[in-house]
This record gives sequence, structure tokens and C-alpha cells, in this order.
Amino acid sequence: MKALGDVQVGDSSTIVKLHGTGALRRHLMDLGLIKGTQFTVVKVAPLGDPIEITVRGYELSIRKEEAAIVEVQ
Amino acid sequence: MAASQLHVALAGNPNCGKTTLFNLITGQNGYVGNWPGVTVEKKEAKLSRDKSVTVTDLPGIYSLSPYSPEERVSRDYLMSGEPDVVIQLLDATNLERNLYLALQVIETGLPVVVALNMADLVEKSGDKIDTAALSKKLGAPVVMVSALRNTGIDELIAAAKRAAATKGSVAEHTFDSAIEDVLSKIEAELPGSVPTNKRRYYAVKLFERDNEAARAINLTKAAAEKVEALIAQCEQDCDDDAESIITGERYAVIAHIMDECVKKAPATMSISEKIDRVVTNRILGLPLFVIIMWAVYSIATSADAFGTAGTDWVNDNLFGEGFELFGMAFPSIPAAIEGFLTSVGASDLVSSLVLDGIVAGVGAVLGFIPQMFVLFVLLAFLEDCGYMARVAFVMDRVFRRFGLSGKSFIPMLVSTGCGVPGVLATKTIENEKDRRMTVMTTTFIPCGAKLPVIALIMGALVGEGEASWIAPLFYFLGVVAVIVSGIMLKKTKLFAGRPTPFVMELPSYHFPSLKSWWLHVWERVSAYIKKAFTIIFASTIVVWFLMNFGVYEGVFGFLPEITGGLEEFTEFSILAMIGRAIGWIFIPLGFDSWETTAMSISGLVAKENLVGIASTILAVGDDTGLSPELWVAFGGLFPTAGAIAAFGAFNLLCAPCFAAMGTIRAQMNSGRWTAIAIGYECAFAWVVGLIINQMYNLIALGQVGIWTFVALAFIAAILFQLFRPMPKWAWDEDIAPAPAAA
Amino acid sequence: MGPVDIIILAFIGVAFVAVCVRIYRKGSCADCAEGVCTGHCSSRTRRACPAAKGVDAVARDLGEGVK
Repeated sequence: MKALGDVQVGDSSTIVKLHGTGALRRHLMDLGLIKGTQFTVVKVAPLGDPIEITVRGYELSIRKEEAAIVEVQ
Repeated sequence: MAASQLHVALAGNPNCGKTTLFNLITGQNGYVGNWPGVTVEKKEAKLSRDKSVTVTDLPGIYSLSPYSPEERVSRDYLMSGEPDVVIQLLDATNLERNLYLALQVIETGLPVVVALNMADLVEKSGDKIDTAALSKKLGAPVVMVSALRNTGIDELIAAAKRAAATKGSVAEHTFDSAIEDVLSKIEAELPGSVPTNKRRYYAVKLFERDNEAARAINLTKAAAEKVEALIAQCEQDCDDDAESIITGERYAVIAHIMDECVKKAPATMSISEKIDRVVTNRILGLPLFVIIMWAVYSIATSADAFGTAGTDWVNDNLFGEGFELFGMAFPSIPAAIEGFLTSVGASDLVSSLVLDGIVAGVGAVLGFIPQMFVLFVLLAFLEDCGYMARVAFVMDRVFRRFGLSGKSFIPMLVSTGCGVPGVLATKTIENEKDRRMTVMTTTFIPCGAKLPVIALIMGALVGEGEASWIAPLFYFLGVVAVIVSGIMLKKTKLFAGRPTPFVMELPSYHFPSLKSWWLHVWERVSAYIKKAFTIIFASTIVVWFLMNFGVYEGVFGFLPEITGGLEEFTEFSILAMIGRAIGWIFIPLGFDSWETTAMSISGLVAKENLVGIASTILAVGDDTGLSPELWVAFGGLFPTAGAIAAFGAFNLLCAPCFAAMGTIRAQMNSGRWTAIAIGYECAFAWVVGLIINQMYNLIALGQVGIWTFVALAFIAAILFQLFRPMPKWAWDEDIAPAPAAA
Repeated sequence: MGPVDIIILAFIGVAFVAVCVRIYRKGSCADCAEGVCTGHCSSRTRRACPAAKGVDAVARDLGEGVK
């Protein structure tokens, strides 16, 4: 499985699935990270955390751990 | 309306301008408490223009899910029956995500008015939002407002009152027909006690397997089983889980709304945008900022520029040799005053007070007026022409890379003039942690009053204008201190959390109007002059007294007299005693004489006071801050150049002046937080001073001592805190769900 | 100490007290210390003072370039 955190800076991809259950998953979905959503990785902070992505016209910071439950193409 | 009071709930995403709108319409005189059972702040206040309307500010949330306490109190309140109408505030610059919450709020069946905040920003960018179409799609009135500009507010309130008189809104949006089918079947299973306008909301919640909602309506076990079977079947058909299905449907609705209601402008490029491709470039932006600020501080302090030429004229003529005007010879001010005192036969004590105390101190500070003038002319130009907006934009990128908010940079920009308004400006940073951190670090930026200190240090270090590159160095020391502190603090429990988002609009470049430019400069310079004749004047008198009076051979009195003309009479002064009592703190920093300690303390009165008091203490009476005599005398107090630099760093970074400290106290509104802020600033300044002095000793002089290792340990600790990954709990706290209750 | 000294000292003393009273009343940073910003330091209207406006408005003004 390729996770959101594996996408290189500058690259775009599409979300395939959100794994896991509960609050974190729901929170990411509420922020618009759902199946079929396109996003672009804007930057990755030193040491790879957090990752900043552009999604649905806004910029979202997301921790590597959170990103791990997001499966991408 | 039955009740005389109309209850309005204010809902919206975090940072959509809700606090600003709430403060605007209520005038801030409300009740602040907690929502029942949780430590989520509840703000409630009456409308300032209409006391029959009570506004409740809901927490900033993204969704009405049952996972976080903020979300739970919001939905509980919405379903409680108290609110008559909901004002749903949307950040128009981020419409897609904001609509997600709006759809859910409209589903509650309550009367809703949608307020589009910052719509002016969107319009400016050329995009068009069709409010009529949006209103139709949402099934709720849409009003364009600007909380910041105070526009559209009356219409919003009127619309809210009209909406409150209706039975409630009916969500216009529909999901995929297969989902709608299941939802209507679930609706049929709801108990009859659920009113018509809320049935849709509960059906959707049950579909999401929201147990809290099921409990709220006392769903029978049999009904619950039927509903579960419906959901399970639907999940199988769609090959996805229920929560994902609903979220997906909502975003599909939003995508459709966006298509219909928002017209994107075709991208064109103006001259400003072309300039911005360089100025705000990811790679070039920051170096360009460094070069420009370098130039500003260099010009303001450099010997070749107008700044020092002016200062020299003031020094040489007003305070030095005297000058000629229209062929008439005028004596310099100190000479004139000295002449006057001699002619009226004033005693030594009075002459000393006036000349070595007041004239030396106030004069040293006034001597910097031309430089302050040049500094503020340049800074005001950068601000008025639109460049500072770009700097904020570029710094936002830098800050966010480290998990800090670019919003914190704006107070720092203000602080280059004066720290007091800088600290006060933080009041609209909504995130409390970000606000506190900004208050703590913003005074690291050298304010105008620190320029004389920088010039003094620079003079002592390198002499007459040879290397005006040192002055900008101290400015960047401040910027680096802010960033380093920010990163370190953000990784502690006190400040951890997501950075506040920040939108910066970039105006077209333009030449500032001369009038506003001049006003800008005059405000600052006049405040500086005002301070010289008030606070600096008063403190020079106090310091002169402390320095000229003391105990010599058991007798208290005017030292020059009781010591019988001893040259080093100040060694016995009260000031020397105070300085020695505290000076040991600075031994590892390389300066522990009572004179330097007294200067540091006097800097707390006002930063430029340090130069005034240096001049008073060193009794180079008729010279001002830039004169070589003062530099030499000042430099003589230090063993090494490293110690001078350490002294400079300490005084620029440590606790700001009393005025700014009072402001910090007011802003923090807590004695404990004030102590933390001032304590951190002083400790950080001390550590930086220690590192500078010890590293200078180690590298330039090859000296090694116990403090060398302490300094190295501090460097290691700072590097560790800077580069270690963000601790695990740092983010969790923010987004994490309330622990699942049994 | 002659009468001249007394006069000069009295003069300085009055000025000193006046300054202290002013600082006590109005604060030491021009006018806006002690957290009570009157906005005098910036301009005639309170609205123009960065302290009274807050971050967002300052940012907005920077963005507009209108002062």
C-alpha cells in the first residue's frame, strides 16, 4: 500500500481509501480527504513531519502518522 | 416569537473570522464560561445594538461528528431547542471546506443564515460568487459580510431575524438516489417524537452510526436493528463504509455547488505579479528580504549615509564645537549651558547634575534622532509601497515550515517600530497558544529604540562606521531568536498544536503618498523625542544621584566632595553597590563591572536609555552616543570583543522596557504567564550572551574553562530541541478525539 | 549652595516630579504603556493604531497598501 506520506514533494496523487476507524479517520474525512480526492504535496518539513498538501483549494498540514492511514494511488 | 429573547448561535470553522464577527456585533461585553461538562470556552453576549438578541459563539469546528468535545457541545446546543436561528459563517476564500459544515448545520432543520466572510477578498481576485444561486442551492439566505471591515452586518442581523420567524430551513441538497432511498427508510423508523424538520438530521446521523444521536432520540432496539440492517446492505452495495459514503456524498454536493455558484477568473498577470514572481519566490524571497533589511539597517547606521551625516552635524555643532548660522557663531548646547551655569555661579553639585547627568544622558539619546529618522523613513517606505505584505507572505512560508503561524509575524513587523503596539496587536490571534508564544517572542525584534544600543555596540566593536554590517546583524539576531524560540517552544506541551492558518493578500506595488509617509515617520520620531524629554530625562537624574552619592569612609554624601576629589569616586557610589550585587550573574558572559550592570538595568526603563546612562556613567559629558570618546570609554569596560557582543546580544534580547512588560502583563492577563514570558526572554538572552562570549574565547583566544563546556552544553540542548521531531502528543492533543467514553 | 543653586535644583525638581506624574498617569511608551493604548502614539484616531486594530486588521491594511 502506498501511503500519503510516500508521495514526493511536488507530486500529485489521488486518495484510494482511508484505513483505520474512529476519530482520526473521521476527522481526515471531514477535512475533505476522501476516496477520489486529488491532492498535491506542497512541502515536507525537516525530518519529514509534518507534510503539507493542497487539497480542495486549501493547504492542509498533516502529520506523518495521520498520513499513514491514507492510501493513495 | 413567543420568547422576548431571540437566541442566535454563531457557527463556523476555526479561523473563519468568527471571533472577529462576535466581538463586532456584541461589543465584547459578554459572559465567558465553559460549556457544561467540558473545558470548552462558551461565549455569550447580547447584541450591542439590540439587547433582545443573545448571541452564542459556538467553538470553531469542521463537522458535527460526535468525536471532539467542541463538536459535541456544538451539536448538543443546536439540537437543544434554545437557538432560534443559526448564523453560519463561511470563509469565502476557502469555500469548499467551509461548506461541509454548513451543509450539516442546514440539515439540523434550524433556521440558518449563511454569512460569507471575506467575500471581498474573493471578488478582488476576480472570482465571482453567485450568492442568489448559492442561497437557492443551500436552501438558506446568503449574506456577504466583512467582519473586519464592518460591512454587511446590518443585513446579516436583519436576515437572521427574518429567518428566526420562519419554521426552519429545509436542506435543498440531496444525495445519490440510492442513498436517499436508504435515508428515507431510516427516517420512517425514527420515533414519532422527532419533529418533522429534524427527522432528516437524525436519519443521516443514524446512517453514520452515530450512537450519541441514537441515544438522544431513544431509538428502540427493534428500530435500531432495522436501521443497522439497512446500513449494512447499503454499505455492501456501495462497497464502502457508511461514514465514508456520507462524507463522499456531502463533498459531491459541494463540488456541484462550487461548479454552479463560483466563477473562477481567468489567470492574468499584472506587473505586480511579475515582480512577485521574484520577490515572493520560494528560493529568492528570503535572501531578498535579508538583503533589503540589511540595506535598511546599514543605511540607517552607516557613516556614509545621511543618517550619520546628520548625527555628526548634531554632535559636532549642537553638542560639540558650536555652529555658525547666517554668519553668526552659536555655541553648542552643552557649552551654552556650561557658560550659563558658570556665569550665574552654580555650585559643582548643580553643574555636575545638569551637565554630566541630564545634558549628557538626554543629549546622547537625542543625538540619534537623524538615524531614527532615516530608519523610519526606510521602514515606512517598505510598508507603504506594499513590500512588507510580501515579507509577511514569505515569512509565513518560513514559519509554517516549522509549525508556526505566519500570523505571528505581523506583530513582529509592528515591533520594528515599537514593541508595545506589537504585543497588543496579538490580541486577535484566536489560538491561545499561538497568541502567548507571539507575545513572548515578538519583543526579540529590535524596536526603533534599540537602534542607539546597536550603534553603541557597533562603534565599540569596530569603530567609526568601518563595518556597518554589524548593525543589521543584530536585527537578524532578533529574527533568528524569534524563529529558534518558536521552534523550541512549539515542541513543548505549553505551546504545541497546529499553526493558525493565515491568508495574506498582496496589494499592487505603488509609490506611497508623501503625506502618509511623512505622518508615519513623524509619529515615531516625535514619540522618540517625547521619551527623551520625559522618561530619559527622569532616569538620568536618578542615575546621576545614585552615581554621585554614596558612602565613603563611613560618611554618606556627595562623593566628589567627601572623597576629596578622588578620581574614582564613583566606585563608592550607591549605583556601584547595586551593580556589584547583581553583576556576578554576568561573569560567564564576560562583563561583570557595575557600570555595565547599571546600563543593562537602565535599559529596562527604555532601551535607548542604556546609551543615555552609558554617557552619564562614563561622564563623557559633552559627547553623544556616536562619538569615538564614548565608544572607547564604553569598550574599555569589557575584557574582549566577545564580551561586547555578548553584552549587545543580552540587552537586545532580554526583558523589554517596562512599558512593553506592562503590555505583556495586560495581554497575557495572568501573572504566571507574564513571569514565564519575561523569564524566558531573560534566560534566552543570557544563554545567547554566554554562547557568544564563550565561543569567542574558545575560537579567537583559545581559552577553555568550565563555562566553555556549559556553553557547549547549551548549544547541544538548543540543537536537540530544534531538530528533534515534533513530539507525538504535540499534535494529537489538537485533533484528537475525546477519549471514547465507555 | 547659593540661592542660584536652589533655584536651579527647584526647577529640575519640579520637572522631575512632573515627568513622574505623567509617566504614572500615561505610561512611559509615549502614551500607550500599561496596556491601555489610547492610540495617540499612532495617529489621532484610535482605529489607526496597530495596537487597537489587532493582527488581522494590520495584515489586511498591509495587504491593501492604504494608510
